[in-house]
Amino acid sequence: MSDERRVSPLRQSVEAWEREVAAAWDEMTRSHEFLTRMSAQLNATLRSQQHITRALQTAVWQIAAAQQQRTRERMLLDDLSRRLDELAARLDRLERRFDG
Amino acid sequence: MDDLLERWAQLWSAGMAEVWRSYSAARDTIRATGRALVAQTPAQTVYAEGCLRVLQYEPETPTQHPIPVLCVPSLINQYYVMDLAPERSLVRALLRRGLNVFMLDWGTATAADRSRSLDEYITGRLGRSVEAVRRAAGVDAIALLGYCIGGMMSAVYTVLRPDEVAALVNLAGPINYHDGGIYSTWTRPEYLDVDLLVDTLGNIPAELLNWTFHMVRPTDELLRALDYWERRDDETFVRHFAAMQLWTHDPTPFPGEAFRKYIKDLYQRNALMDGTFTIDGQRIDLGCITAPTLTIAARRDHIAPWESVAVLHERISSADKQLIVLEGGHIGMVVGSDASEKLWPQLGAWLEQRAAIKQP
Repeated sequence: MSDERRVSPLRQSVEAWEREVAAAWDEMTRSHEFLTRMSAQLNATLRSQQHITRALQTAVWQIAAAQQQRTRERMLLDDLSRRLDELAARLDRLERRFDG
Repeated sequence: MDDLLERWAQLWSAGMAEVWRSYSAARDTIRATGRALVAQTPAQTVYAEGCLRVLQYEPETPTQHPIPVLCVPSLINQYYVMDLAPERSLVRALLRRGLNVFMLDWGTATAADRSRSLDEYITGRLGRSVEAVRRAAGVDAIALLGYCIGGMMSAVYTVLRPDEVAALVNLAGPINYHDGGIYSTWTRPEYLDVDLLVDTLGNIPAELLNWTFHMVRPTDELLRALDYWERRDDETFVRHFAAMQLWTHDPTPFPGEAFRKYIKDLYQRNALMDGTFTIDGQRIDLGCITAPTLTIAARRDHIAPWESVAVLHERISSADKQLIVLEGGHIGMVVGSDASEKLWPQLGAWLEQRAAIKQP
């Protein structure tokens, strides 16, 4: 009972306050000025997200391309190293034949 | 505004701070554990496709009426609002009348559904679900019970496939989208660039939709907190409250392309009203509907204002048609404390009469 006595006046006050705020809110959220500003904000946010997404996609492509380039360079270096080894071996063989 | 803020400070010190703390703690618990409270009516899946399921509920009477009922919920809310809790279940009320009840659960849209069109949802997914129900019940035509966007989709389906629909119920499904409602204003082309939104986000996230619903009347949450505070010792109330809380915070994403067409054609062009709305290239003329039709609107509905729902009753050509306008709101009408006395008996009796007559 003590709860009911305490809560009922509170409910009355809250309901009255809520009705007033809700009416003011409804009027504001239907107004051209408010909606124009919200719309501009939303559109700017969405465009920013598009830019970020595009930038991330570009970065991912660039990283992938750089990795591919590094892999290609590593293969060329490996190939060059192998050829140098072969050349060194041939020089060894020629030296031994010349000495012999 | 200063006056309102000052009065709020007084309310906060007079007890609202404690009310809000108690409510917030309960809300967090509900969201973590409430799943076991909802959608408790036993059912079997009779059709599945991607994230979509068609459920058939277990009968609660020895015999059932020959014409089955397919419940078609909104695309953006969980289906279980029609089977919220054992004592707050429209589905259960229909089962007790001997109706053979099926439910279309659209599921939660994923990235794979982004390009799925509204046309595909209506003639494809809804069409295949209708086919599954017809097959399961062994009938040519069924009753469609569409709620919210599901009501609009069911009406459109009835135009496209009249031979498959024995009866139509539009439960709070908007038809006239230029209705003075807040969503009509917010979605005007000068305020909402729907192409930019869909091109950027793909599916419209559930969190964004939930935020939008909340922004219609953000202070409403305070009244819910008070409801909880005043009746927190009433176990039945707390159970229903928890189920409702769970549902209202459990929306699903709106598939991107379907959203684009829904907003552009319906909210921005109001194409269903001027007869220029098309699905799969076919023009939707509501005047072609001749099936028995029940239109139910709620007088305090701020999501689908009652006039925008009731217009279906005026547009169709059915000889057997009825319009019911109930007190209450969009959701309260279906699961509120007086739904069992107002909506369920009227809807159940109407469906029972139409479902008892097997089509030739």
